Amino acid sequence: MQETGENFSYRGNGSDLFGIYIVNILLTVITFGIYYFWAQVKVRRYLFQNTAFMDEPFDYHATGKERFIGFLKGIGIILLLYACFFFINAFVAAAFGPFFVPIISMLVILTVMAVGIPFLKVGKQRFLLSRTSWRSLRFSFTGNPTELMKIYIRGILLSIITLGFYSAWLVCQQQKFLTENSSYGSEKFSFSGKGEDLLFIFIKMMLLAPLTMGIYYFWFLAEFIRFKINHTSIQGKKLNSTFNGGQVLWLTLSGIVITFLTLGFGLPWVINRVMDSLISSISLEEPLDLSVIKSTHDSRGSALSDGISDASDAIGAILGG
Amino acid sequence: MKAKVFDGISPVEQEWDISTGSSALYCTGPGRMQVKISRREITRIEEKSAFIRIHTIPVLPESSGLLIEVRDPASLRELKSTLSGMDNHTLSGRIRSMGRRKRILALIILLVISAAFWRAILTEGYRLIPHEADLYLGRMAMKQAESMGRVYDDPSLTDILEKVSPGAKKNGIKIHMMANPMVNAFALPGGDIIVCRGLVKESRTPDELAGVIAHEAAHVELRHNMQQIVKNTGISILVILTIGSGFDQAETAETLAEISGMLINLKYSRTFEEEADRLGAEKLNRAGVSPEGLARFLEHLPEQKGLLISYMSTHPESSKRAKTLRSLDRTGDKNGLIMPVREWIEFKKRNR
Repeated sequence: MQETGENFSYRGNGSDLFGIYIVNILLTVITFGIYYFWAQVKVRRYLFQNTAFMDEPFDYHATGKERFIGFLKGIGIILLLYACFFFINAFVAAAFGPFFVPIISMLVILTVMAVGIPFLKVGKQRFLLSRTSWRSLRFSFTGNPTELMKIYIRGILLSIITLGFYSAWLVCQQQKFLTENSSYGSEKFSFSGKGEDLLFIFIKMMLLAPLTMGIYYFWFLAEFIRFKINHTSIQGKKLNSTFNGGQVLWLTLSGIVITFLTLGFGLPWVINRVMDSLISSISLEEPLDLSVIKSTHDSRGSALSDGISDASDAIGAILGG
Repeated sequence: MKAKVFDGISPVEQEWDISTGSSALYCTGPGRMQVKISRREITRIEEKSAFIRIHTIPVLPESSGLLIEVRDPASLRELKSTLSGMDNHTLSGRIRSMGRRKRILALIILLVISAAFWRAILTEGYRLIPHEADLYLGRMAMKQAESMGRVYDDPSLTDILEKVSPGAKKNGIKIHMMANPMVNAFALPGGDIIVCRGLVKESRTPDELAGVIAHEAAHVELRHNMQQIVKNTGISILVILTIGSGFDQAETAETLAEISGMLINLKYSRTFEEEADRLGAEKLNRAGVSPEGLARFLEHLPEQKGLLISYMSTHPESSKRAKTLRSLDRTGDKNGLIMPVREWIEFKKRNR
């Protein structure tokens, strides 16, 4: 069955989002911060439910409870990692002398980052998509973190050797990994972006940004967003975005002015305007054939990765404070 | 009533018949398939003026849950009354049935309680932290301080400290000189006070220097460093939690959080300075030294252009502080010199 209306649209408004924002602040203060996780879910759900494709809204099904449990588990894991780190340092200092402590510390940190970042990224993506639906059918993510780890290690080494030029291919490979392991029901997404095309965009930015005193950066940002969206397709039908640099510049400048003049209370309007401009610029070149899409619900997505990120932010705030 | 349904198996829209019971919805799907949905199976209800959307747990095999949407005005009324009846058994339903006035009252009471809690944490939370933590931080800060200039001891400084703060040494408070031209003195967590040579150079009389030392000793006794750490942390967490509530990806929220935190911290720094002035003046009075010296030194400070910009930014206005210090002078005619003139000249020579 073919359906019409292949444009994306955003229907949210600043005052509704402001209402959510104020209630979130009150409840977060009252509950000594615990409501923070429910607050995040509420805002994300509002943004998703007001984003529509083919006139049907998306939905976000995560719950504050699972985010909070993920956070508690994350705190446990981070503290365990800290404890292991100090134990290893103490052991190295006792066994081999203090000279080796900084070397081993650096190796441990690099290993944790090399393993941890891909696992966190995959976990977050998996949780986000497994809790996102459109027409009551869930999205899913099936990427393997070890594959992403290989992309990062190879990409970072080659980027160093090529004085950064390979980073365009690294970004493309990462985007391909994230997109092609994402599905809507049984339908997989695909990504056709090429490193050489992205390199051209990067070089243009490097040449034009200094000449325009940085103003070109806004056009680069829009082109980069378009590159990611316009090379994504589903059922062989391409997504298309018309988001442009002028919009990014205007949204950034007006957003800064609104936020600071209203002492932060205008933030919901700023976010709403960004969402409206970005989402409304996207369309699919042809309507989706919905009749061939079936459910493949991924029940394994967990809030642990989000929890670890939240926990490390919280511990960072305490140590940094 | 007719409802638009997505069955969670396929994204294709379907039309189902829904009838309401006292504690469940009875749904008839394609091929006369019957599904009974109880309140426990409903995960979320979106109630707007134009429509009601009901989300359920997976009630069909291979489904990720039903989405039932009703838009017909007559059906909406019927469905709303059924759902509110079903909702009386849940906590959120009971809260909703409390009525607007009672809900607002409960919210205000909770806000007052939580404000009192946050205030207690910010102002008194440091008492829960053992003194060992101050010592640990002090050792780290001392390493940092040593990179700013040679740190050494001078017996005259120790004498002044013992006079304005008797028993300081016994209580673990130590004073050191730093070979640094800054016109500054600072107290580290744990009890080390550092006086920069620039400050000695700018002090015109021994009681000016004694005033500064009494002020720093007061910072140590009041554990202002630890109080500041607890307040900074608490404020950062509170501001990030509130301003950033939900907008986890918004960098603007983070910037705002930092700015607000910085402004609040500035206010706290000034309060600490005023507290240290008051306790410092008390110490000076007990030692028979007039706080007039510290007052004069503070008034002299703004003349040191360029050197004190950072110092002044966290301190209250010097003239106001000097006025307060003079009002706290209880020495009267008993004002004595803290150090003989000859020793003062020698001390200044040693620490040029």
